[in-house]
Amino acid sequence: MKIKLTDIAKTFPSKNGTLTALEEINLEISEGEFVCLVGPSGCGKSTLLNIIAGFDRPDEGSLVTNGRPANGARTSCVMIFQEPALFPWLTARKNVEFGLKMAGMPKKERTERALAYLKMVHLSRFVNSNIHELSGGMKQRVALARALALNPDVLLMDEPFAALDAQTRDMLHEELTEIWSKTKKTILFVTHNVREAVHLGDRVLVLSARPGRIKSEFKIDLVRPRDPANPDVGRITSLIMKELKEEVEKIAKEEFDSDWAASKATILHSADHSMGSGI
Amino acid sequence: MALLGGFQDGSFPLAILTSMRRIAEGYGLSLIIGIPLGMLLGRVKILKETVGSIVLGLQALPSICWLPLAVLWFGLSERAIAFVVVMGALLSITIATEDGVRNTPPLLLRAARTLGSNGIRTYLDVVFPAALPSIVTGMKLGWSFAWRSLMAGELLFVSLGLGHLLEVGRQLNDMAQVIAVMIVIIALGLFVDRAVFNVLETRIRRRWGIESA
Repeated sequence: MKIKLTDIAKTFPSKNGTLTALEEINLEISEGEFVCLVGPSGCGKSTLLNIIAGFDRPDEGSLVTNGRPANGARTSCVMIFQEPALFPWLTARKNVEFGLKMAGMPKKERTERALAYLKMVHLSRFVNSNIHELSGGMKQRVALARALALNPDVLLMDEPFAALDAQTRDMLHEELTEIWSKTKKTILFVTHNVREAVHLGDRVLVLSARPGRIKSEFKIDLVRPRDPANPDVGRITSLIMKELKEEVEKIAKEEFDSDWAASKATILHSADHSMGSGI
Repeated sequence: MALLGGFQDGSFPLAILTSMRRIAEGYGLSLIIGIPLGMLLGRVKILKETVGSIVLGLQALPSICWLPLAVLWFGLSERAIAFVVVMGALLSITIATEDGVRNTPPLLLRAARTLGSNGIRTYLDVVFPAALPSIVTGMKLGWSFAWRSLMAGELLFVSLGLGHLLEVGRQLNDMAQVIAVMIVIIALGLFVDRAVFNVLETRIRRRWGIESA
C-alpha cells in the first residue's frame, strides 16, 4: 500500500503554550518499501506513527493511503509496540487469533491461520503457552505473528526491539528481513538505533528535534542480508549518526544546564577535524 | 457435645441450608448488579462522579445499619435479609470492579484498537478480562461482608438460619450451643473463602502471570 503524507503538522498543549511535535512532514512510502525513522527522543517519531495508525489526528495536512484519505484506526495498518502488548489471559495462539476474531472469522479458519503465523515466527512448540511463560523475544514474535495474521498492508513498528537484549535483537532482525521479503509488506520502522535502521531499511529518514521535521534522507542500496561488518554499513551508519547527533545535542541543551556540551570531553570537535587541527 | 448434638437432631443442617440459600441469593444478586455497575462506573465519567461518590460514601456504613430501613420497606421478611446481604456485598464488589476497569493498561487498549477491536467488543474481550484479578479480589471481600451481614440480619428475628440459632441459644442460656454455632459459622465462612475464592484467585493470578506457580 502506498502512503502519502502531505504537510502534516501536530501540536500538543503544554505548560508554557503549545509544543509543536511535527511540522511540514511530507513523506511518500511506496508499496513494499522498508522505511526506518530515526530521531532523538521526543522528536515526534511515535506521534507520526500514531497519526498513520489512526490513533491521532494531525492538526494540519493530509494522510492518503492507496489514493484515499485515511481516518481512524484500521487493520490495514497494524502497529507493533515496544512492549509486546499481548493479552495475558490468552494463550499465544489465542492472542494471534484476537484480531481475526474481531474481524469475524470462523473459529476453525482462524485457528489454522494463527498456527501458520506462529510457525512463521518459529513458535510452533509454544502455541498453547501462557504469555508469562515466554521470554521477551518470544513475546515480541507472538506480537509480530498477531499483527501479520491480519494480513495488513502496512506494519508500523514503534521501537519493537528496543527492550530486547542484543543477541535476541540481532536474531529478530534477520527474521524480520526474511518475513518482509517473503510477505512484501510495507514497513515503517521507528528506532533510535541507527545501526538497526541501516541494517534493516531501504531508506532511513532522520527526524529533527522540536519541531519534528524530516531533516535528511538516506537511501540504503546495499544487498541483503547485510553484514554489520561490511564497511559500507559502517560508513552510512556514521554518516547518519552525525546528522542525528546534532539533533540529540539540541534537545540535550534544552534539558540540561547551560554549561553542558557534548563535545567538551572529546579531542575531536567534529568528525571533519583531523587530529592536530586545533594546534 | 453441643456441636455433635446439633447435627444429630437436625437443627444445624437445617440452619446451614437456610443460611446458605439466603447467601446464595443475596450474594448472587450482588454479583449480578455489582460487576456491571462497576464496569460502567469505571468507564462513564459522569456516572463515576455522581453514583461513584455515593457508592464510596455508603461503603462507610456498616451493612447492618440498613436493617431498620429494610424492615420498614419489606417488613420482617426474607427480602429484608436479602437486602442487607446485598448492601453488604454489593459495594465492595462494585468498587473493586471499577478499580480493575480503571487500571486496564492503556497499551492493551491500543493494541486492541490496532487489531481492529472497538467499543463494546473491546469492553468484553479486553477490559473485562484485564480487570478480572481485581474483580475476584472484590468478590472475595464481598463474600466475607455478605456472610457477616447475613449472620447479623438473622440474629435479629425469627429466621431459622444460623444467626437465629445463636439467638435461640442465648434465650435458652445455653452457652454450649452458642459456641457450637459460632464454630459452625467460622468454619463455613472460612471454607468458602479457602475452597472457592482462594483457588479461583490463585488460578487467575497464575494465568495472568502476576504470581509465579
